[in-house]
Amino acid sequence: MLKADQCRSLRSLAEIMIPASAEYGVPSAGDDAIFADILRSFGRDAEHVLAVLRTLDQTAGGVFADLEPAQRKAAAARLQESGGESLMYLERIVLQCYYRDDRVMRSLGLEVRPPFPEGFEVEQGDWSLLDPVRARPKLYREVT
Amino acid sequence: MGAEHQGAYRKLFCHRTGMVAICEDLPEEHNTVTLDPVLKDSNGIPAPKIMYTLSENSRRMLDHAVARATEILRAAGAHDVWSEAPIPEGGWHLMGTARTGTDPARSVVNEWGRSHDVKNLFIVDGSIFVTSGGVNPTRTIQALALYIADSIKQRLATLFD
Repeated sequence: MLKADQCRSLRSLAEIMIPASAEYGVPSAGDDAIFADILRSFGRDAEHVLAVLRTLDQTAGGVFADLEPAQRKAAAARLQESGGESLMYLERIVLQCYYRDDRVMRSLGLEVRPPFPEGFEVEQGDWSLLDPVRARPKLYREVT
Repeated sequence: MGAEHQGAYRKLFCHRTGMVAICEDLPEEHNTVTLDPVLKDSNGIPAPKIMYTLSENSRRMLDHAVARATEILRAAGAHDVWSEAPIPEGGWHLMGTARTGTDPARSVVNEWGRSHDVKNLFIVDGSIFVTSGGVNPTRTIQALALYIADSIKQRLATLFD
């Protein structure tokens, strides 16, 4: 759906939004697999993605991805500062795709699987904490 | 966004919680559902026109709820507390406008859901509430549906009198 230049710009922006981290051992949001997920996932929000890319290109006076790295960061910072609905949609897509990547989930200590259908074993807390609540006189009126 | 993202995310991950307060609007006359004079569906039936303004009373209830919730969260050790009221995106319970009552001048349906004006019309949904209710209304609507169905059954011989 995106043209080649738009694709490059979106990838550059994703890399700025969530850079790779050697400290945590995670890729950037512009990583091949994550970016492919982003391209597959924006679907009905395509207009918002395109709107953000148009704004970036206007700021750049050309193709955002062709700017020098420092200029790209500055343009992205201005975009963030101006905010707006379209950027909110794009941020949601990028975050959604980033934090469901297996490598990112592992780095956060998460099991690489959806919570359902298997479900998680919930550690039982101290149910006796509820004893004072159970012992309390009722707060409600009986309905007849 | 940016180089600080990874650290900031990990600082918040599994260390956030939220609270929601639901407030009960009073039955305020400035909140209405009327027929839209212009907008119609493909069959020419007017669309509902919904007018809603947050009243001073509701605003104060929201402020009170946020203040108490903030106290609770801070007492629990929260250091960054953020709030918004009303929430811009979320479920809103649209209720009332055909309220229940015994007086036809002040209500739309009687105490068992039959319209005062049209004897063979029964209204069985959230519109027969007299106020919005303080919490989610589905179970009360289900209970009303059972109650009104029972009332209809018991009055079959004289239902439209």
